[in-house]
Amino acid sequence: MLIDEKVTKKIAFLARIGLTEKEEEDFSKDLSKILKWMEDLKKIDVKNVEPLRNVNDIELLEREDIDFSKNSDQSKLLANAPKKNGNFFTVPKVIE
Amino acid sequence: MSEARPYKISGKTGSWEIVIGLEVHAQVSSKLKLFSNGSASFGSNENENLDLLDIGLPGTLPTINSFVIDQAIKSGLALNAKVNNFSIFDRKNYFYPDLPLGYQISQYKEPIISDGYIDIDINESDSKRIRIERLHLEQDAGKSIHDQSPEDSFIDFNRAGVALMEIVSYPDLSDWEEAGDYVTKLRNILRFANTCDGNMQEGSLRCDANVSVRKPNDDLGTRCEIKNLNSIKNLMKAIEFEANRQVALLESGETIAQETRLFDANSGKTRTMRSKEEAHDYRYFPDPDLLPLKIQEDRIHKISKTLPELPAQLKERLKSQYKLGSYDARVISAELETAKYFEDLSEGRDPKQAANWIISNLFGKLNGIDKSISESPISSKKLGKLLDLVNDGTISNKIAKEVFEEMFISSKEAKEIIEEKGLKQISNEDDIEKLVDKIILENETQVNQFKEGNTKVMGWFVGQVMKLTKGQANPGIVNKIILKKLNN
Repeated sequence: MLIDEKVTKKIAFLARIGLTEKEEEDFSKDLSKILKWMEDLKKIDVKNVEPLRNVNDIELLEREDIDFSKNSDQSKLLANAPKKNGNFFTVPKVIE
Repeated sequence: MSEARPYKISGKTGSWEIVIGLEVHAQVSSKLKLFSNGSASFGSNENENLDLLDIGLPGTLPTINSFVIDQAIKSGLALNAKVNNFSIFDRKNYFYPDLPLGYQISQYKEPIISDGYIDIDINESDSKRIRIERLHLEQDAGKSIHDQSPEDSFIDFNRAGVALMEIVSYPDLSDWEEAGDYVTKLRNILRFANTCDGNMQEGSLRCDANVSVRKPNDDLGTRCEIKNLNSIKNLMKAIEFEANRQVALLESGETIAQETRLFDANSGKTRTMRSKEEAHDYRYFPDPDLLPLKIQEDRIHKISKTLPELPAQLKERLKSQYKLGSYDARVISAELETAKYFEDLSEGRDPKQAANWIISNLFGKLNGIDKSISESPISSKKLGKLLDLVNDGTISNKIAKEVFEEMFISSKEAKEIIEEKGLKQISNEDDIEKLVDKIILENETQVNQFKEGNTKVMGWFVGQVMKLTKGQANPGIVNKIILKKLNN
């Protein structure tokens, strides 16, 4: 097995996802299968193949630096905040 | 005697070398943020400069700011670096309330700029090349405020998404002075290029320092990273403290733990922020929302044409155009505002005199009140009028310094002060003759000393005239008259 429960736990923690023991076991198996498949892919010789960054043959679009300042409605932006105080978003106290 | 540079730490077991690499975060001067239509301006009300993307609302996608790319290219050229024709934006993943998307868009393996350098002056004649590994573009995070309520942290997303250039040096710096000089120079280059305003109080320029120590010829030691140094003074203090801390630990037989540390400006000490075990695992991967950034040669060429005069070029021009010596040229070219002040002041005047007044008088006074030249109570125009009064003989150089002191406090015009205090130079030969006659009459002893060949007593006579005139007599005329009278 490429991915054991310890690794799965870490991945879940980094993604802030809570898993039951059963899920940890299942995901470990699933993830291992995926990695195994990747290992198979690695066997293909791609020495002369350019990495594909995107399937669309288009260029990166750029926006102009023109100030439309405050074009967004602040009250709408704050409307979906789970918690706010005045014009601040608030979260449970975090101090690193 | 000054200590040999670079400074080393002298411990019980001998001398230790310091190895420093710096990461500087410089905010790109632009109207809008890196990937959104949110305003990048500073000092707005909380959460006023937001676009939908900046708070991570679903369905929003990043579109890169064209001008920010140009600014990064311009900075790269100013830092003698290579502009890469192909670069990639990656996601740096971590959770923090001031980062609504759960990732920062940054550049990891393929940055927009690589392999530059800055030459720093280490003494009058020698410079040292500090290599720059890379400059990449990334988004700034929001700001958390912890002291508004006992239960909650308040978040202001105005900064979120603002474009930063992270500029990473190689570990080529060998003491805190070099580190300070490097950041000073880097800041000036970016300010001259007009790509970052360099305002450290407003956080437009922040530094992280990687510091380790080793015995000469040993391999690199374990490094610690000191985060978020917001002034050059603090950067230097933090490095000096950290290097000494590491030497003390190693000499008492302990090991250095690789960790991230914070500098407390009040105590002057660094302390642990997080250990290696707690280090973030950022899981970088290419951002699927953004295509590779391709930059054509003609774009680079066009931008290179717009590159303004940089500090090194200005320094050379000051030497050739104004005939300044290397020291003066270096000091005057160190800051954009100083150079501007100098060029205004020397317009129609002697450049050497202008440089002298700035370096010997103005800087001293400004340092005394901890102000920069752009905040000087005496403008270049006002100081120019003072110099004109010296040059046309209205006041002596000595009186000018007195007037200058007064101008610094009252911010009055030189002429006003001279009139108020009656400081005008006495150049009237009749008036001075009368004084000299009086002094000669009353001081036979000194007159005889002069006649016996003691010419040094001349100075005493001049001093007497100056005393009686409160220093306002024209020294050239005083000398001439005393000599004439004594030789009679």
